[in-house]
This record gives sequence, C-alpha cells and structure tokens, in this order.
Amino acid sequence: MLTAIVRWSLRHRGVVVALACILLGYGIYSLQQANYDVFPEFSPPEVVIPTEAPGLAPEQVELLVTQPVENAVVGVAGVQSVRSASVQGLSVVTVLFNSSTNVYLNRQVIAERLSTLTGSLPAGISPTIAPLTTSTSVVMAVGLTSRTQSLMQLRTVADWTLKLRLFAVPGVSKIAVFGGDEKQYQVQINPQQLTQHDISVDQVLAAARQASGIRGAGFITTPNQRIILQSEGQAATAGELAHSVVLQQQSANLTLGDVAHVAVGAAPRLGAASIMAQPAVMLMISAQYGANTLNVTRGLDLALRALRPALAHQGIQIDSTLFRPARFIDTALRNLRTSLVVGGILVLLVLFLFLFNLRTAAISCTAIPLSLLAATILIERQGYTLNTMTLGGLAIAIGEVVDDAVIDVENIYRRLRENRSLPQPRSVFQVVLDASLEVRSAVVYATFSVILVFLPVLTMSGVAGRIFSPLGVTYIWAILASLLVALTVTPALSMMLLPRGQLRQADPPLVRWLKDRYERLLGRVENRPGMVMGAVAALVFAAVLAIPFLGGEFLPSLREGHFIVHMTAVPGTSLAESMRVGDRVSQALLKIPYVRDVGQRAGRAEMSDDFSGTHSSEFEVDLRELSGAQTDTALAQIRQTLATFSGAAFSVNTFLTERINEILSGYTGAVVVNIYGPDLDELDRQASRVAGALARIPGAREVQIQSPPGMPQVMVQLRPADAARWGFDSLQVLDVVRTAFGGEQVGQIYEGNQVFPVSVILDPEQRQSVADISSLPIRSPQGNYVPLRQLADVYESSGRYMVAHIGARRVQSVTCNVAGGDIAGFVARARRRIARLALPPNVYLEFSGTAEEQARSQRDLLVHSVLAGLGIILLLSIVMQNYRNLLLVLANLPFALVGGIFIALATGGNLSLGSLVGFVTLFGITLRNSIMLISHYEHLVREEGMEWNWATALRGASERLSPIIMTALVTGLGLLPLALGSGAPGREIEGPMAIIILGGLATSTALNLLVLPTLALRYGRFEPAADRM
Amino acid sequence: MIKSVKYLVALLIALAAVSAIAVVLTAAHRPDADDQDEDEAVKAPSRVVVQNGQTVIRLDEEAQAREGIRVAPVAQTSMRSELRGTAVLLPVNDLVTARDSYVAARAKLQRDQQDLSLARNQAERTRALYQQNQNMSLQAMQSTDAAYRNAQAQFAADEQDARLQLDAVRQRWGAVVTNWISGDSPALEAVLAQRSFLVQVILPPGEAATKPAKLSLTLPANKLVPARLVSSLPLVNPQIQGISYLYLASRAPGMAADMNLSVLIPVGRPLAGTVVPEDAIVWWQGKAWAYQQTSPSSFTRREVPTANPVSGGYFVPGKTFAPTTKLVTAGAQALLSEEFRSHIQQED
Repeated sequence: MLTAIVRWSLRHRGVVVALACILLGYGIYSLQQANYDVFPEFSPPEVVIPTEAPGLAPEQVELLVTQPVENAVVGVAGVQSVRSASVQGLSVVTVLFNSSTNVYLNRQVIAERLSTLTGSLPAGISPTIAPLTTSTSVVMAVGLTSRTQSLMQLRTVADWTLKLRLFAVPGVSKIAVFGGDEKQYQVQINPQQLTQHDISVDQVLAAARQASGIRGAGFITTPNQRIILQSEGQAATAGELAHSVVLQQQSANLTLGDVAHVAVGAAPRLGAASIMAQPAVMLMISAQYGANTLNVTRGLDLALRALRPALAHQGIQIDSTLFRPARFIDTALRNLRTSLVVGGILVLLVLFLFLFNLRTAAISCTAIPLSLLAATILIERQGYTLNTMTLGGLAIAIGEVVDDAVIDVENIYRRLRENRSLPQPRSVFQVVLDASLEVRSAVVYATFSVILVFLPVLTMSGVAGRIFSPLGVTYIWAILASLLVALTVTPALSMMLLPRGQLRQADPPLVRWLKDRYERLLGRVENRPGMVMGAVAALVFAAVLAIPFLGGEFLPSLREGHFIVHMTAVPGTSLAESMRVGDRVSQALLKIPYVRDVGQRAGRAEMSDDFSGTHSSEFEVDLRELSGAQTDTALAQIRQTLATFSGAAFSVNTFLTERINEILSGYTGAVVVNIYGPDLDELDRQASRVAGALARIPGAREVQIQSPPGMPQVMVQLRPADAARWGFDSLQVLDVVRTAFGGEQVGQIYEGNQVFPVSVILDPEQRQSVADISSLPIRSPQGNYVPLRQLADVYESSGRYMVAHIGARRVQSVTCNVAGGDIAGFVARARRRIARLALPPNVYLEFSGTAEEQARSQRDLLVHSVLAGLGIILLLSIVMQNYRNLLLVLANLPFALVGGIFIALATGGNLSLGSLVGFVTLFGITLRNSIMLISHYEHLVREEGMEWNWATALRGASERLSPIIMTALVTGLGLLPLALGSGAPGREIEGPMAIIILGGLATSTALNLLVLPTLALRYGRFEPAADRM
Repeated sequence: MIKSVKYLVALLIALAAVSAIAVVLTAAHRPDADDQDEDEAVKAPSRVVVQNGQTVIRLDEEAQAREGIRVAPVAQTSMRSELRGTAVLLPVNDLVTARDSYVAARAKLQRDQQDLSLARNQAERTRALYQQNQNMSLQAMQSTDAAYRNAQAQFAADEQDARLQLDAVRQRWGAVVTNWISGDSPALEAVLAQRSFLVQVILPPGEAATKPAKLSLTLPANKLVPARLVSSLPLVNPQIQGISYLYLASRAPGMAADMNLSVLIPVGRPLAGTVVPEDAIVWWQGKAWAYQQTSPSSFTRREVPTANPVSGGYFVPGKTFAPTTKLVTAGAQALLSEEFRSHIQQED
C-alpha cells in the first residue's frame, strides 16, 4: 500500500503539490477563523439547578427544596454525581454527568424531571436551570462607579442599560450583578401605625396588590375592525401608591400613605461590591458554553465603548480592566506564538546547516507548515479550540514532523547522488520511489509506536484527561499528517526539485565535521564498553532512585497576572462589616506596587447559582504587566499583606486554578476532606477535629471548614395553644413574620422599559434590633393586636450557614491548600493523622480535591501505560527481526528517563501532569530514534548484504548521526524558547513539559548515538535476508 | 521459535514490572518529609491566646488602626426598663354629655332642695296654724304635708339621678375624672375646652407595670409630649387587651381626638447601670457578647445580658461593666471572626 501511495504521488506530483498548496491556503484561512482559548473545555457536562427560596432557613431549604430536587434528578441516566448546597433562601443542586453524555440532552432530561416537582415544593418556589457557561465561565468583570450618582442609580443603570446591552453581545450567557441598591417601591409598614389605625398587614398587602396590579382588557370587534382595549391607571409612582385606599369608613379614605411609609427603597441586599475601596456595582459576565473568549471579550469591549460616552455624561465611569481572562489568553498565545516562531527560525537554521542545500532544506521545511496546518484543520473540525494545549501538541510534534521529512529527503538525496555515480544510472523515478520506501516502513512503525505511547494521555480520566487529551490528539494528527506528507508531498517535491540541479557528492561541512568527531568518539566508547555501560547503568539506577524524591502537583501555578483573594469571616458577618474590612484590605493591597486594580465582591448576586454568604468576599486583584518571577514576588507580598489582617481567613488563587479546583471538588482547595453522616451537629464536631488535625500538618495553608456552624439566628417557635387562644392559625402568624422581615412582593411598577417590584416590608428601623422582633404586633382575625412573643417563643440561637450534600448525603467539608506544592505527600500525612481520630458510628470521611484527581490520573496513567507498553512491544516485535533487537530499542527508554528525571530534580523537583506528558512525548521521540537506528542496521545487513561487525555498526551509526542530531536539535530548539520562558504566562504547563523533553532528549540522543551502537554490536542480532526464517 | 516466545514473555513481564515500579514510585513520592516542609509552612500569626482560662485576642495599636477597630467607654446611667405601649387621645363627647347631664341634675337637685325647703316651711307653718286652734283646716294641712313629702321624694330621686350620672362617669373615666366633674375642676375645663387631652395609655397585652406619674407620648415625627397620670382606667381597649391608664396631656399641634400614638412606659424601679450600644454587640451561640479592651493591645469577649433592651442598645444594671470598661464599638465582628478562626486551627 505504501508503495502504491508513493508511486501515485510521484506520478501525479503536480496534483500532489497543487493539493499541498490548497491545503496550505485553507490551513491559513482556518487558522485565522479559529477559536482561541486558554484551555480546552475542561469541565464535565453539568447541570446546575438554583432555586430561590426567599426567607427559608438553611435546614428548611435542605428539607423542603433541595431534597425533592435531588430525589427528582438522581435517577437520570448518565449522572455521575449530585451535590448540593442549601443556604438561607437558596438551594443549588449540581448534577454532574459522565463526560460522554450530551450536555444539551442532559439539560432537557433534567428540565423534564424538574417539571414533575410542580406542587411538591413550597408555594411560590420553582427550580430553574442555570445558563450553560464555558469551563472558565467569567470572561470579564465590569465595574461601575460614580461620584455623583447614588448606588441605587448605579444599580439601575447596571440592570437596565448595561446588562441589556451586554446580553446582546454574541456569546454572553450570564451576567451576575453585585452591589448597589436594587430599586424597589416599598410600602414600609410601621406596626405602631397599623395599630393606631386598626389595620392588619393583610389589608396593607391587599391594598398594595390592588394598586400595582396590571390587567389586560381584551378587545372589541366592530363590523370592520378589531380594536384593542388597554387599561391603565395603576400606580406609577411612590406618591400614587401612597394614595391607594386601604379602607373607607364614613366617606373618609385611609390610604397606604397614612399607615405606612411608601417610598423608593433598596431591596434587602444579598451582595455588595467595591472598586478601589469605593462603593460600586460589579457585573460578572460569563460566556456561553463553547464560546470564543477572545471574540466575546472583543464584543463586550465594543459594546462598552459605545455605552461609555453616554454613561460618562451621567457621571458614571465604567471599569472593564478589573478582570479580563482574554488578557491572559492574549499574553499566553503571544508567548506561545513567539516561542513557536523563534523555534521555527532555529529549525530552519539547523536544517540548512545540516543539509547545506537550499532545495533539501526547503523540501523538509514545507513538511512543517503542511503537517501542522493539516492537524489544525482536523482539530478545529473536531470542535477543539486553539489553546495552550493544542498549540503545545503542535510544538512538540515539530521534531517528528521534520524528522519524517529529513529522513526521506536525506535518503533520496543520498540515493540520487549514488545513482549518478553509477555507470548506468537507473531512472530517477525508480530511485526516488525506492529511496522513499527504503526508510518508510520503519518510519510507519515508529509513528504508530509513538501513537501508542500517547494512548495513556488520550485516555486520562477526569479534568486531567479533558485538559491534556487535546494535546495528545493534536500531536497524533500532526504526526499522522506528517506521515502522509512524507509519503506524498516530500517524494513529489524531491522528484521535482532534486534531480535537476547539482548534487553535492560529499556530506555538508557541518555533518562532515560532526561525523569525524563522532566516529572517533564512538571508537573510544567501543574500546571501553564495560566502563561506559557501567556508567550508563549507574546513571539509570541513580535516576530510578531519585524518582521518589520528586513531588507531585496537578497543575503548576498559572501566571495569569490576576489573583482572586477569598476573605471569609465567621458566618453571620453583615455585608456592611464585610465591606468595611474589605475596604481596608483593598487599600492595603493597592499599596503593593505590582497591584493595578482591586475590586471586592461580598455575598452573592440575586437569582444566581452562587451560594456565598454575606460573610465571604472575593477580591479581584489585577496585576500590572509582570514577568513570572515578579508575579511570584507579587503573590508573596499579597500573602504577606493579608496575613497582617485579623478577623478573616484569606486564601489566594489564580482564576483558572480556582475554576479547575472548583470543578474537581466543588470547593476551592487542593485537599478536600468530606465527612459524611446523618447528624449535622455531629458532622460539625468531627469537621472541627479534622480541621484541627489538618492545621497541625506542616505545609497546611488556609484550612477552612466549608459550612462552619455558628451562624447567629433568632428562632420564632410558635406556641399553637397560645395562637389558638387568640384566634390565629399558625400560617397567619408566619406570613406576617415573613412579610415583616423578608418582605413580600405584591406587584410591579413600570418606568419606560424598566420594571421595578413593589414590596411590602417592615420599616428598616424596626428590622435592626434583635430585641424588637418579639414585639411585632400581629392583628388577630377578631381585631386584637398581639405581640409576637404572646404567640411564639422568640429566642436567639446558633444555626449553620449551609447544609451541603454530596450524592444526596449530608456532608461537611474541610478544605486546605498546601505550601510547597507537594500535595500527594501532604495527603499521605493527612491520611495518617486523620486515621488516628476515632470517628463515631455512621460518620465516615473521604479525601477529594486536586489530590484525589491527581491520584486517579496517575492510576489511569499507570494502567494505560502498561497497556500501551504491551502494544508497543507487539508492534516492535513485528518490525524487529528478533527479541534482542527489540530489547535494544527498548533500552533507549531508560536513557531518556535519566535526563528527564535529573532535569526535573534540578528545576524544583515537582512533577506536574505537564511534566508527565513531557515524559510520554520524550519516550515517543526516543523510541523512534532507536527504531530508526536498529532498523537501519537491519537494512544494512539484510538489504545491502553487509556483515555485522564494528565497521557496519560504525557506518550505520554515522549515517543516522545527521537525522538523529537534526531531530534532536529541531525538537530541542523548537522547545527551547518554551523551556526558557517556563513560568511565563501561557508556558506554565508546556514549560515544564519542554524542560523534561529537553533534558531527556539530551541524554537519550547522546546515549542513542554513543551507547546503543556498542550495545547493538554486542547484543544485537542482524542477519542477512537469506538466513532469516 | 519457542525460545524467542519465552524471551518475549519474560521481557514483557520485566517491562511491565519496571513500568509499574517507576510510575508507582512517582505517584508515591516522599514517604515523610515533615522536617523539610517545616520551613516552607507559612503560619498565620497567632493572635489568640488563652490566659487563665480566658481567650484573649492580641492586636497591637497599629493593627487596630489598620483594621479600624475603635473602643469607647460604656455609658453610665440610671435607667428603667421601658415598654412600648399605645396611647389613644380619647374623644370627650360622652364626658361633655355626662358633665352637662350632671350639671343639669345638680341644678335640678338645687331647685329640688329649694322646693323641699319651701314645702317644708309651708308644711311646718300650716301644721303650726292647725295645731293652734285649728287656724288652718285639716285639709290645708294635709295638702301642704303632702307637698312637702313630694318635694322630699323629688329631691331624693334627683339626688340619686345626679349620683348615677357620676357613677356612669366613674365607670367610664375613673374616680379622678368623676371628682373633676363633681368638683368643677379646672383640669376638666381644660379638657372640655380642648386645651388638654385625656389619653388612654394601653400596656401591651400580658404586661403589667406600675403606672408612672409622668411619661411622654410620641407624636408622628417623633415629637414628644409630656403627660401626667390621672388615674387607672376601669376599661380595656377591645383591640389591645392590655391594662390601661388615663393620662392628661397638654394640647400640641397635630393632636386630635381618636388619634393613636405610641408611648414608652418606664417599668420597675430606676436602676444604676450601663448601656452597651448595639454597635458593640455580636451574637454568638445564641448569646450577645461584646469585646472589652483589657489592655491597649488585648481584647476579651464578655457576655452582655439582654433582659433590658433600650433604644440603641441594652441596659445592663449593676456593676457588670465597671465605669472604666472600654468596649469595642467598631470591628467587634472582626474580633469574633479572629477568635473563631484561631479556634478552628488550634482545636484537635
């Protein structure tokens, strides 16, 4: 088949070259149209079901809302896990599906299940499905500040001008608005006034409802026309609302204004925001699933640019620099592109120096863009974006792509040169065909072996798999495309370009110079085989011994130029207090010279799936343009500054790391210990013990109980007998309490296109003191006014901020981060410490977080590596003549390991998943080099009839010297800029990977060239074709 | 061939073993590196210490300034507990009627008295003339005697009527107002002339209090109007089933009959003590607490009794908080958070 392909390509070389040109053009076009992002979509398909349950306490939310929702969705096919959080007034159930499921189908099935809940949830409560967003979710944070406008005006502009415009930007899926005062028309009831006028809360509610209700009026039909009726006249201002009649007695009207304060007021706040320590409104904008972050950001920028002048005229400033992941993507892709371009130029230089022939260099070079562009087209068609992973896959493929072309061109060139010196030269067609096929068989096997090497990367599970598999896919497409190019375009171009000109008889000067030295060196190695092999064995042994000293981390720290600081006070901390402390933290952070912007968000946005309480804040800390080292310094200074603040627990993360961590465990923490049990109080007690144990382990940072007890609450416990004595039924009393302290929305008032709710609620002054609650007078059906304390026990107690579930089981989680990055080691110590705690019956715990994910990834990697190893051996056993040669090929793998391990130790001793992928890539390259060398020996003996001895070994090695060094140099130089810039934005993952490849490549190439021939001479078995059976 | 297969199998096992060992070792990492990690661990500065069994938060003055923690001495005061009641400006139409009726009854009684006196004199004179030799006829004597007894009966009936008028007033308004009517009190005149208002002060249902001699009514816009005790009221308000007292308040702008006002009613004896402002209070585990500054750089949490809520805080009677006590009035929640954070990290 290979012969047929190469022959067809040579025959129709014009067509092949034309097709190559078309591919080139289309590839460039695709590249321009491509979607760019930082990472592939790494979150598993999930459906988030937020349900607002105004006024309900966490335990009530858990029992009345969360449990029915969980019960409705647990049986859905493809569900991997269900977790939930029940906080005051909100239930959030997150359903995670298997990665193979269709996210849109999942949403539909969940929606169908939720529709069955109608009637089984408390009145007025209905679950929703949160909009689908990308893995990275937030594409921009926009802040509004003003010196002249009130916070209510800012919020109104955010809700009714900015939000509507930004939703029109293609790709925007969700906008959460924090801070400001949400405008409401409020009927603020004063119990004394109600008593004075003998009016009940129900009468006020009814009057307000009547005044703000809107009704349609239908139409009339005349013989000729249909005429629409429109009824108006409902209250349109607070003044009109105040004039609404509550009661008419003896021709006198009692109005809402007489019994309550009717005014525009602020809805009870769930969240607050500040920018640069000034009160503000902040919009967190999320992108749709699969949207292109850069395009969405561009669209948002255009929309904001259009709005800016009008808002500036109103004295409102828009700050869109608070948080822009696009900036990181830009920097990351720019850095990566620079690395690729610099690498590409170095590759060209190497090719020219080694081939010393413009035509051969040009043919080899054409393979690079053709293969990489073909791979780009294919991954785009598969729905992948161009991100650090896919670009990384292209970067590491350059070496093999060049190698494919170089082997071919170099062999064709050599054979043509030899052909010319023959007395009766064969046809050029035949020479090129034979020369191509001569090396192709080994190259095909080598390529498939490398694909097998990448199998573990492709089959990695969880987030790691979703992040790294696009790298593997891209790499495989690139080398397959390269194989195709080497079978078609390279022979065609060689046929067209090489026979015409002068063919240099001698090797290029650099190759000649290298060969001279190499042969002398190889001779010396051959003279001292025992010593060399002993040294190599010692090196390998030392490397294996060093493995246990390597630490592990799931992902390296990303230098996004942006940090998210979490500030958590005790539950129950008010928004005002969170903002007061937050302002001081912001001011302190702004004193750090590296910090550009600081924005704080406390609490949560309305109608969102975020369950942060008023005690927790997030600060967007945006840095100036910094190098990797400066970013580390900035982080250290931020940590140092935060450590000076008492009264809150702080944690610092980069945004992407945080998102990845959130997806892994639902919480932001490298290590998460989940404690399960039926009794919430018992769980709290055990969580506290576990937190204590974790905090004592060296390296523990930011130990937090995720839903700590201690939320202050006032219990209103009805006494049914007393309620009955006064003629109340329980619900009447509870309704009044809810209206008074939680507010009840009774209607809406329209202002142009803006709609504002009308709410009845207690006067703000009456809602400030715990002591006033029990004095709330409630009017009985008989017209008696009875203070709440006559009907219920009103007492202060302590509740919990959140009730969490995992898999519909009650859970309390303790999270912590780990100093030094050795999470695996930390978890091992944590397991030992926690095992010493005697847990009560029915309580058990599990470890989760990035640590668990890392362990799972490594387990998967182990199993799949073994499978891939077996596959490779089977494949090699087909191509190699005997097991000895197969062993020789495999012997090169430990050689590669040596350099990789030593360089990993030299650069910090931490192995991230990127480093492990580096090892995999390295094994692939090394395997290929050794296959090529051993199969070249087989070729020399079998095809050219040479006898297997030192001279043949030397000749074979020196003939492979040039391609091997070229491949190593091309790969090495291609990755060098990545390795040198390791840690810079965009290179955090590929940097360590490139370093491992460089280190391994150095030892593997050296040993491949120096030790493998010696080994082959002693232990290889190469026999002429006739001897084989 | 068999030999080759054997070698291949052996090779496969060896390779699998090496791969497994290498990857497992990579995954396992260091067995224990506590000593090495010790230097890397960044511990948050410990600000919470336990001294003599009491938890103390240490925060130097610089940190207090940075975090906006402010302290203020507790306010010493003498105070009584207060109940918030309802005050109704009573319409006095029935009082006017009652007084008019009573005045009419009294006038009638006076007339009856004169008639009685006249009838008695007439009867005595006629009886004397009759007894002096029957200078008057028996029939005339019997007539005047009958007229006298009639006048007597009329007086008794009208006297009873006047008493009934007062009894009715007493039932509705109490003894003092009855006395005002019977005694033509200037206070009554002021009420009837609307220079003063009679005010029904109603305690919340289920509450009892010693009626204070003076209190202040709260008019809309929080204007206070003094009122003085008149008497207990024998009736309760059907809507607010609490004990009622009658007070007299001078007329102030905005006051009109039938108006309902709120009133703070002092309860119990005045006590010396301190007021802990609401700003200093943090609720924790069902109790109210305040942070006391025990030295310039240390704070301890103290429970605040909440039995006596007053406007803007809680009154703590006695010497629970000494006059020199300084409480944290800004940043108390931050101190609570700090105490709780340390608690998590130090507990095992």
